[in-house]
Formats: sequence, C-alpha cells, structure tokens
Amino acid sequence: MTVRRSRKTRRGSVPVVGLVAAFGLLLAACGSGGSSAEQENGENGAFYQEGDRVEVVVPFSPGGGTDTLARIVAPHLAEELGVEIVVQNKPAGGGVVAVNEFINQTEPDGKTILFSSSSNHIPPIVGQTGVEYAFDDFAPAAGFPIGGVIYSHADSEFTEPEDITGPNQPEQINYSGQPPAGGELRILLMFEMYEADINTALGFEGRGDARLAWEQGEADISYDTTPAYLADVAPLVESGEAVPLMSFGTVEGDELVRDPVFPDLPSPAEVYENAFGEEPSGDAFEAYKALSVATLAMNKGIHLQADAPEAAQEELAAAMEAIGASEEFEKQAEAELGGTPLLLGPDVENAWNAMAEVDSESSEVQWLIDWLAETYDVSVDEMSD
Amino acid sequence: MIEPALEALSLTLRPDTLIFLVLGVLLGIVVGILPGLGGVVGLSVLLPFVYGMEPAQGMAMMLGLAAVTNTSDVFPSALMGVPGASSAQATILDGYPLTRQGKGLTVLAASFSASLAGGLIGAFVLYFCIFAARPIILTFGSPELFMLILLGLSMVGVLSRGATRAGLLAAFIGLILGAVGAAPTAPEYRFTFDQLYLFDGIPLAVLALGLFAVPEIVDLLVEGGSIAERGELRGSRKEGILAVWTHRWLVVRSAIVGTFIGFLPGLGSSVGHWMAYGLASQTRKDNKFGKGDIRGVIAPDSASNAGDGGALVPTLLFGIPGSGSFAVLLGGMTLLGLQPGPSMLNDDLPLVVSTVWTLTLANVLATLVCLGASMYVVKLTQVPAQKLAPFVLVIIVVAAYQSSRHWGDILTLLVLGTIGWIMKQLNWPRAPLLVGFVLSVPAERYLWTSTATFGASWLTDPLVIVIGVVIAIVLLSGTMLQRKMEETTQVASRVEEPRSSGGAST
Repeated sequence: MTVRRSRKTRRGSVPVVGLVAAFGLLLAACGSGGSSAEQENGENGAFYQEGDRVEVVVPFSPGGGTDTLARIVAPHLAEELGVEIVVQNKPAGGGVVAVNEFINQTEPDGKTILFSSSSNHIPPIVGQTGVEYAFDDFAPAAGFPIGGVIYSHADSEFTEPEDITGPNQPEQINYSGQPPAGGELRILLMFEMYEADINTALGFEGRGDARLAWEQGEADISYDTTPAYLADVAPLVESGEAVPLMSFGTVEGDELVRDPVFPDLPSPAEVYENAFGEEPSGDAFEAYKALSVATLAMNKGIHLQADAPEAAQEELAAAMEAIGASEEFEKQAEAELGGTPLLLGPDVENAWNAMAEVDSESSEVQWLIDWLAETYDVSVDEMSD
Repeated sequence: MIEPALEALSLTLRPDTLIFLVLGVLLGIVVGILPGLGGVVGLSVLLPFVYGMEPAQGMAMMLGLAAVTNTSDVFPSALMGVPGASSAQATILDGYPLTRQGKGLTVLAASFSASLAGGLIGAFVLYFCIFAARPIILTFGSPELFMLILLGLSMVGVLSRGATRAGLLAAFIGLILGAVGAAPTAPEYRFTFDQLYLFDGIPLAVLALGLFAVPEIVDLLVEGGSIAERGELRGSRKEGILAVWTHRWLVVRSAIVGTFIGFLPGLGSSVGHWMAYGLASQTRKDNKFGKGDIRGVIAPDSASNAGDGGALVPTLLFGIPGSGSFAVLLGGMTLLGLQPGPSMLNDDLPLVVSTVWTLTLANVLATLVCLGASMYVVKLTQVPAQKLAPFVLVIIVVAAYQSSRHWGDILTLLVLGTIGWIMKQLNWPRAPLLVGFVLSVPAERYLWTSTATFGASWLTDPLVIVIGVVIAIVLLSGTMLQRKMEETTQVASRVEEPRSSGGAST
C-alpha cells in the first residue's frame, strides 16, 4: 500500500509544479521562524524530508468515495512533499473513531494527515454522541467540493422544477432514499421548504440503489451527486427518459446560487421564488444552507491537527495548491469531483469556519433537530450517518 | 452477436493487454490467499497505478485481479479452516473435514476446477445478459429482493443438519448480531452500548473467523497431530477433477444460482455461495454434508466464481457495484476515463465484451497456477499442530484486525471464538448463524422499503408469489430431509462411528 516517490518526473507541468512547490517551501521557511522550526526542519529548510514516511488516514473502508479520492491524491502528495505516503483505512464507528484518534491520540508531528468527509463534518454540528473533536482542532489544507442534480422521469407528472413544490405539485411525490442523515437531509429539507406532500421510503444502502428504485418506478424523484449524475443519469436525459429539475446550488457568501457546473439548471432558491413569489427564508432554508456548506462545499477535506508544526501545515497547503493547479490531477479526479475545482488557501478556511459557526446551539440546528425528531422520529443523540 | 465477440477477443489477446492481465491475476491470487484481504483491498492498492493506462489494459489488470481472489481464497479456508474472503465461508463446512481426512489435494483440485467451470459459465451468462440485462434487473425491485432473501433464510433448516431447534436458534442469534450497529433504515444505532467500535456493526470477517477458525485451531491443538489427521495425504488432483466431472450438473446449477444472485445488486457477494451450498446439501443421495462431502466444496465454489460474471452486469450497465470488489472497480473505471452506466453499451461495446474474455482467461490462468501450487501448499496439513498453530493464530488475528484496525476487532474475535468453540462442543450448527447474520441487514432494508413504497400491495405481485411458492417447496422438502437425517443421526449416535472411517469419495 506504499506509494513511493518516483524519481522519474511524471508527465505534465513539472516546471510549474516545481516552481509552486519551491514557492511553498520558501513560504514555509519564512513563516515558521523560531528556534523549534530550525530543529524540526532538515538541511534544506523544508519540513518534509526525502524518505520521511507520512500516513494518510482515511476513516472509511477501502473502495469508498473518500478512499478513492485519497488514493488519487496520495501519489501527487508523495511527489510534492518528497515523502513516502501510506494510506491507512480505519473505518470503525462510522468514521468517527479515526477522527477522534487523529485529534486526541495521534502525535501532531505533521507525519499523519487526515482525509475527512461530510460524514465526519456533520456529527459535531448536530452534537452527536461519541464525537471528541471540534472544528478548531483541525488545520484544513484543502477542501473537495461536490455538486448534485435533482431529476425525474420525462414521462411523469413532474417535469418542471416547480412541480415538486407544494402549491404546484400535481400529486403526492414518491421518493426513495437513504436513511435521513448526512447528505440525504438536503433533499428532505428541500421538500420541507417547498411544503411538498411526499411519501418516503428511506432505507436504501447508497444513492446507486436508490437510483435503481427510481428507474424501476418505485420513486418519482431522485438525485445524484455530480459525478454519478454525469455517468448514470445524463445518458438517460439524452435519450429522453429523464429530466433534470434543478441543481443543489452552491452557497456564495450567504446566497444560494446556481452551481457553476450546471449553469442552465436553477438553484433551489430560484425555484422557491417562482413557486411562492417571494425569496426563501426561515429555518428550513437556513438549515438547508448550513447543510449545503457541510455536505457540498466541504464534501471532503485534507487536514493536519491545528497544533501540528506551522511549517508542516504550510508545506501541506502549498502542496495541495500545486496539486489543485495540476492538469493531470484535474483529469484524474474528474470522475470523483465532477470537475469542481478544489477549495484552497483562504477559501478552505472560510468554508471550514462557516461550518464551525453552525454550532449545535444555533437556532437552525435546533430547528433541524426538532424537525428530524417530529418528522422522521430520529433522535440526534443516537444518530448515525 | 459473434462479431463483437471476435473483435473483443483480439483486444484481449494483444500482448500488451495480456501482460497486465497476467499481472492482475498473479496479484489476485496472492491477496486471495491472505485471509482478511480480498478483491477490495487488492483493487484499492491498484487504483493509483491505473490512471493513464489504456482502458483495455487497465480493465484487464483490475478484472484479472477481481476474478481470481475467489479461486485462491480456498487455500486458507479449505486447508486450515480459516475463511479467507466472504466467498469462501461455505467451503469450510465440507472442505476442512475432508482435509482432515488427508484429502486436501482432492479438495483443492475440486475447488479450483469447480471455480473454473463456474467462472466460465458466469462469463458465458454475462455475454448474453449484457444485451438483455436492463429489463431483467429493473424487474427485481424491493419486494422481489426481499423474497429472495427469505429464500436464503429458508436454507437455515437444511443447514442445521438434524439439529433443527439449535439451528433455528443460531439463525436468530445471527439475525440479531446482524442488527448491531447503524440501522439500515433509520439513522440510529442499535445494541452498541455506547461503544464506538460497534457503531459499524460486527465485521463479517471477524464473525466468520471467530466462529470457524478459532474453534478449529483450538481443537487441533488439543488433539495434537497435524491437520491431516493421520499425517498422510490420501487425496489426489485427479480425484478432485473427476469429482467435478461426476457432479457436472451440480456445477451448472450452482453456477446459475451464483450468477443470478450476483446479477441482482443489493444481495451481497456471499449470499450466492451460501444459497448454492444450501440447495446442494438438500440432496437425498448419500448425504454426508458437513462431515466432508465433496459436493459441499464444488457447489459454493462454482457459485462464487460465477457470481463475478453476474455482478459485473449491474456494475457496467447501471454503475451500481454488484459486490464490494466491483465498487472499487467502478472507481478504477472512471480513472480510466470510462463511464460505467447506460451509455457503456454504445460507447465502449468492444471493451464491455472484452470483459467476458478477460474473465475467461483470468479464470483459466488462476486455475492452472493454483492447481500447480496445490501440490506444495497441501503439505502444510502434515505439519504438526504445535508448530503450525502459532502461525495460523497470528494469521487469524491479523486477518481479523484488517476489518477496522481497532482493538475491538481482536476482542470481538476472542468473544466470538469462545462462542464458536462452545457451539462446536455442543454440536450446534454454526452455519445458520452466519447465514442469519449475512441476511439480517438486507432483509430489514427491503422489507421496509417494500412496505414504505407499496403498503401491503406488494404481497400480490406475481413474481413475489412465484418466489413464495419456491420457498414453500424448499421448506417442505427440507423438513422431509430433516426427518430422515434426524433418524440417521440417532442411529449414528447409538452406533458411535469412528470419525475418520469411510473416505469422502462420492
């Protein structure tokens, strides 16, 4: 499972990458300062040295989305940092155990890097039991955003986006999905926001199985994240079997706007305006936006601990910037990210802080918790993701 | 239909593609042999190297690996009673007793040739199903899947071998153990006692290792001697291959069961080989299942390799992984620039058809390699227990620890190992527990989604009724067989037959 740094240069923009990395090293050298940094850093002033062994912890099983992405990033990271990278899967406890361990037990020496996903980000927001970490324990180096599209059958009663809103829906909507937690909450909140009358069958193992139920006609409406949508649903749209209704949108500042990957599809906010004649507001909408940041903008992240050496944090951030700029990486990761660029530098900090601000005391989270209990009989104390 | 097949064959037989296929197969054999590792881990390790390869080469390497782990995982399960992957659990039930009788070589040869035959049948079915698969898969919604799971559960009776009440109880315990952790239909945890380790449920590999591997190794140490009880090897490869030929219809039947179950997304890869084992052990003729019946090796192994061909269908055409390994394969395909999904048949037809040839070649290659190696590996069963056991114990513990890399894995292994040993001493059947465990989550999921979507009206669905009738037949014939077996068990317990009398030839 070891990815060795290859001495041979890989195809692609090596000079540029080298330049960016050199710049990163420069930054790191300037930024760290102090006596400890000089001891920690090796001869050429860089924190990470040739031959270092760095562990990338993936809190999920091999083969999942986070693992696949981590394994695409790993060789690039090995090359940028000049180290040997080992990917470790620690899937216990729905991903919470590995993150608890990373924050509380792992020595913050820069030699262990965490790959997180929204399944790690939501538990602290809703105050799930067993979580022993908070957002300010992390030093995020990059975020991996993702988008999504809601679609329906072309020959159904729901062919316009407004057809799934309460005032305009021609009949009750059948919806098949995963249990009401994590990313699945987005679409359920949307139905709530639209005051739609829905019948849910929430118990499918993954979006793939839920999509199959939709194809079988068990459901009227379904959604997929961008990569799966492009691979599995876009062909059905082309052949005239499916129609896209809207994207999940992205949060810019405080606004919910169109997803730049799907400029032709309305955002959920636009659909609301068309159906209700006013801008969306209220708890459901605020909770939706909060969840959007936690599950879409910061769908996955790569981190050190906040108390890891400054030099390591900066070198990792610089390495991720170089990787984000690499065309080769963009091509490799397209299937996992759907072409959305990485969140880097101040952007990733902003997104991370935005999640930190949505704490379990805030009114929208309280509303979300109450709503889950009332509508889906879910008690957050025992919630899984 | 022939033309694309030939075009695809030329794609597969290109020397550069072949090299990667061989590479994948060899890697697959190694990860298959190591208990606790399987196709999922093997493919995950390949992922970073796949990008930039030509699609045909990358697919050949990944599929080559995925196709053969089910062949080589028989080494640890049949020879040492250590279940390698989820597809070799049923093989233990008869493979290990046969090995103890000194027939290790026969078991391996039978298993490998059954795997080959199953793999070829699976590839054949894949070829014809590629073009007709979408409508078939779309026919099996939640209600039909639930009924198929019930069919699987109805095997419990026959797996109990004369101890019906103990078997039923074991199956219920399995169902309950399967319910530990995150619930499939609500975001809630059950029976976790606030232990984060239990949030993901008990890992299948730990359960299988605890129930089967630990008791066997403990008893082996108590008895002394070697795995092959008399220290002599009495089997031969010829005998194993001949056994597969004698039971060729069983091979075909099991392979069809395996392919069909693999074909349906949502049932999981180990369900098919358990069903094949259960169906095979309902025979009335000379039934020595559980004590060393070569048919108990042939049936599950042909089913598990045939399942790959089946599981590839939903993976390629719907982008829904038919098994754990194929979930990773899906990631690898996107890295190669392929778009698994409905457009695959139009855009990449030669490549899709070439997967059939890849499966075929990989299976042939793996069988030859494994058959060649079996001569030497089987000698392990002659090693005295005191020398072998420490190594096997280390393998078992390390394998269990691969599940979640948490100390809970080892604690769970110890607890379940004790339970398994007690069950073994009491002659309680352990297979029903495993079957109950495997089917627990899907049973709950599809019952819930069927009822949430259709209310009670799904009960009148024609296909549901058909499967219901099949279940009734299985239960009825099982009960009759059960009576017969209970009679023979009573007779046997009075006569007290020596354990290793009578070979296992059939």
